[in-house]
Amino acid sequence: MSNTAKITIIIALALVLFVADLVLGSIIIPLRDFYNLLSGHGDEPFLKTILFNFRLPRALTAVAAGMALSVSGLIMQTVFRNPLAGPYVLGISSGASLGVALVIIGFQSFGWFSEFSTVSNWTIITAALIGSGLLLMMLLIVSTRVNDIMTILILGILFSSSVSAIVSILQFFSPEGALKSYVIWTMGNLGNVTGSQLSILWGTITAGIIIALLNGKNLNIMLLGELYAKTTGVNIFLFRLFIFIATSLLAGGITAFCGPIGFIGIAVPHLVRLLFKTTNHFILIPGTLFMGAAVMLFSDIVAHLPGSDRILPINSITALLGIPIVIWIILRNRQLSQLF
Amino acid sequence: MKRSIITVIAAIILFGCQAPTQEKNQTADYANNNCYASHFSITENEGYSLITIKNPWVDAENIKYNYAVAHTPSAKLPPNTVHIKKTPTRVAAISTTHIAFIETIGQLQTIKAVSDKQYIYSRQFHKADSISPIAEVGFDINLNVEKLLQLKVELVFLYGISNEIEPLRKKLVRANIIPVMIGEYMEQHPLGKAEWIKVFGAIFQQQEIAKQYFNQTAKAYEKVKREAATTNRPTVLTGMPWNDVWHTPGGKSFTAQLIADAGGNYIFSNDTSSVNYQYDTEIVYQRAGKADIWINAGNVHSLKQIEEHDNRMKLFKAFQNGNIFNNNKRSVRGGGSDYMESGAVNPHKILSDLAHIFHGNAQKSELTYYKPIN
Amino acid sequence: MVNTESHIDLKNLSVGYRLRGHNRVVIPNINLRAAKGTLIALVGSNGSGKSTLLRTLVGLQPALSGEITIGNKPLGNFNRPELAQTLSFVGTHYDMHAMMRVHQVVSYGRYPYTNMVGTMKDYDRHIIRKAMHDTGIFHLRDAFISEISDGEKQRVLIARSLAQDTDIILLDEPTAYLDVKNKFEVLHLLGRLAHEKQKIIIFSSHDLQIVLGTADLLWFIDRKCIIQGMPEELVLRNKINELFRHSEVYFDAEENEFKINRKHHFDISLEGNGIFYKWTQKALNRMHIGINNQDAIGSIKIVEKQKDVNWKATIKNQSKTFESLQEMIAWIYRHQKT
Repeated sequence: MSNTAKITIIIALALVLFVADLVLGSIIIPLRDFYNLLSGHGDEPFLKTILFNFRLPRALTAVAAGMALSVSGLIMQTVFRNPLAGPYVLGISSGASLGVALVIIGFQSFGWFSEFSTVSNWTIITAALIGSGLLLMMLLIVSTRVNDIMTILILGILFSSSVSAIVSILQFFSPEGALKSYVIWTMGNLGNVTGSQLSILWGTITAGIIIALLNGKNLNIMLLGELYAKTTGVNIFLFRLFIFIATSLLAGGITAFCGPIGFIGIAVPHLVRLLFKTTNHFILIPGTLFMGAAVMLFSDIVAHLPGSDRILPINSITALLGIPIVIWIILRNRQLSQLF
Repeated sequence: MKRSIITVIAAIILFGCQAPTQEKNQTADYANNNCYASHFSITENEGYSLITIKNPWVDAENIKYNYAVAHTPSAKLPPNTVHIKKTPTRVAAISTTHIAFIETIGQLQTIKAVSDKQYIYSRQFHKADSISPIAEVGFDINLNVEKLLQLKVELVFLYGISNEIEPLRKKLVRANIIPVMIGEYMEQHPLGKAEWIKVFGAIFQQQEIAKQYFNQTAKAYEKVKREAATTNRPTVLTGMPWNDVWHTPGGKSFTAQLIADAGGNYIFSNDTSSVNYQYDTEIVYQRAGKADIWINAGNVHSLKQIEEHDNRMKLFKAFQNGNIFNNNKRSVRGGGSDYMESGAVNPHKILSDLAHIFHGNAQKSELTYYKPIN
Repeated sequence: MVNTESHIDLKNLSVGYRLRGHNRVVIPNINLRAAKGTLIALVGSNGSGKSTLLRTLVGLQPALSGEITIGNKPLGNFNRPELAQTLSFVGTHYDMHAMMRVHQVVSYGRYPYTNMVGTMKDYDRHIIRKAMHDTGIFHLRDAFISEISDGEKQRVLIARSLAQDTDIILLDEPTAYLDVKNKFEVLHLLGRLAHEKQKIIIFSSHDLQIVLGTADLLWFIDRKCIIQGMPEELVLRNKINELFRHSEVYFDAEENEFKINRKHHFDISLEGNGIFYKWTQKALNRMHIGINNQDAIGSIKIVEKQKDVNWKATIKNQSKTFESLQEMIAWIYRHQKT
């Protein structure tokens, strides 16, 4: 099968899942009604509201999250030459978490805000973006001094641990309610991004994806090793700068709006690599975009347990879907390190 | 847990306990008047009161704490109980509700330590604090026991949300401080919560004041309830979604009871649970999109804040008609609300607020805890 | 065609590292030059500074002092794309992503010539095909890196370098992980490419014996000093043996091979001709038996018959004929004692 055929199938799959995500949920919208609503003939105001105000923003957020997390995972795996790298290895989610923890737990504990009334979505989004942005700046400063990309990876991991420690300390001083808000944020959520937030989210990740695509050639040559990249004319500093910015926009943006959503970023790139049997980023990036969207939409459908009143945290679903994929990949390629 | 609540509800129905207006034999069995509360009982014995606290947290099963409060220093107290030999003069109140109870029986001056003053609403408390500062000793399991010792606190009113509180309780016992587990928040009936004043009354030897206060409250509550029992029952929605999940109080919960007694028709009154139910926001919209009145919408103060939190909330009829009322009229900067504090001892006032809201008499000045959200 | 005009010049070059403002010189004052069409072997023992010099030449680390010029233009005046079109580099092959295909790796050589998204034109494809043909890996073009042998991987990297179309190719230990056959083939390939395509190919190696027969020029590092010369010339000047001055190994210029000075337990006389004589002597030598007619404890006579060979050993009036060299040496050792 040609790559074009494969990518067509993935796009078709993503489209089917997109429609499924729109019609399936606690309330199942019959396809006839769905068609009528789309074509403007529908006069069922309740279903219309459910479809356009609840389902559509959520499905669009799911697509954005799936695309952004998977692509940032792909480029991180290439840049760090590590098959288990994900969008969060730079510590981006930790930076975002620290920002959010400070706002939700810290400010409340110290009485700067009253419960969740004034901690609006925008406050959380801003805190998360500032958190991941500051972390990015720190890493860039470090990477001008440190040549070795693995050192930066280790710093990212150490930073994550420090953040956990700080969050634990904040929890120690915080009342139960604030702690609960933070825990709920860490569970991830796709349903709360609407209106102008959705436009900003899509703007952010589109910018990130474009930067990633423009670096496709550099990403390809990185697979030969940084030494070859350098001697073939790649400006390593600029390349890292662009990759860090792209990852921050992609992973940082999604984390800010939806909370940390795990495992999609690690699992999807492997899935796409195996499917296309290529390492060419000009094929991998589009493949990852649509595969990521499909997997995220599927997770969202599962999380909403169609037909039931309840919903499950999206993070648990992505973990349960993603971890078996990662395990399968590890077992399939006994020597995972040889992949890089 | 569920079983115990069903038993309690069944008991209330079977005994057909009306408002405890009829005076009974006072000295013999105080517990006979225990009509609403189900997590404690008090019996009067020769020279002492025996307080039994049962299952004071959600998952508690067969947990009992027995406290014997001596009436005279020489009273002989039964074994296997916690002995309270003299009326405490230095106590710590961990929950703000405890402060309301203590204040109501006129023992505010005994409070020497609280968790965190910024969450406390009580004007009397802050007045006392400004004269002679009251210490802060932290939350839950992080309670600073050394500081309690330093303050010479004799008794701590505690609460637990799970058995994780047990190590702390034992630590207090080892420190020779009496921990009293208060489980008023477990009561599903608003008057059941208020009835816990009897526990405080017994500990501070103020049984009469406590009993009288409770009887008046119950009488007032029942009066509002009778007046509100009309056929015109507006539909009522509560809460706010978090991450697409809408936590709603169950049909047998405290809030559901209040709504029903105030003459409202709670959207989720068919849920059998006494604790929270979690719904997909879509389902809540399906069932409550057209609800007349929306109460307890998070802790917001304006419609704009609701919109910022989740702009789909604009789709609800109650939002569009401006029929949202929140119980945070009396709140402090730190986030504490008097609804959670003195509301425990004033269920009749809460009920009166809700009755006004449901039946179109919600002029601002008349409401105690609630305010309209604009 | 032999080009004599110097293309790469190293003038008073010092290479080494800068550590906290302090220079650690590895090799000072290097003066070397090379013309196009030359295969140069950079030889020296481990830690002599081969890779430091190589990294400096390729622009991965700055020179401490002095100058490198390529075609009279100082290395520092090349911008990034120019440099990538002038110098290419081949490292060790263990760095490659296993899921890449051969033609893909080779195509990365065209990086400095293509646009931002790496669009290949017909000319680029032609160069890539030619590079694969020249290195003999065209039949492997669709294989994954994980499926080919080490020797083939080395060829793939050389092909990538050819596709980069540079005058100068630098290789870091291209023979390091290869078996003897592949070592010779890869070096032969490099020599052919240098001559046919008029390139300067510089490779580092510590494998003197193979280098001596293949390189046009040796850059021979010894005691922080680089000597340049044709391998044959260095042999004649006995420069090679200076490398082994503290060891039992020496280079036998006559026989073009490395030998070990062994202590002999005793001597024996050997009678025979040609190749049989030579290899019997080698075996005896390794077993610490010298060949000498004086003071010999006995004698060996090589008896050739048709296609077979026998050895007749005589010690202290005892004689025996052997079909196995191993058995004979064991017999000699047993009888020499008694």
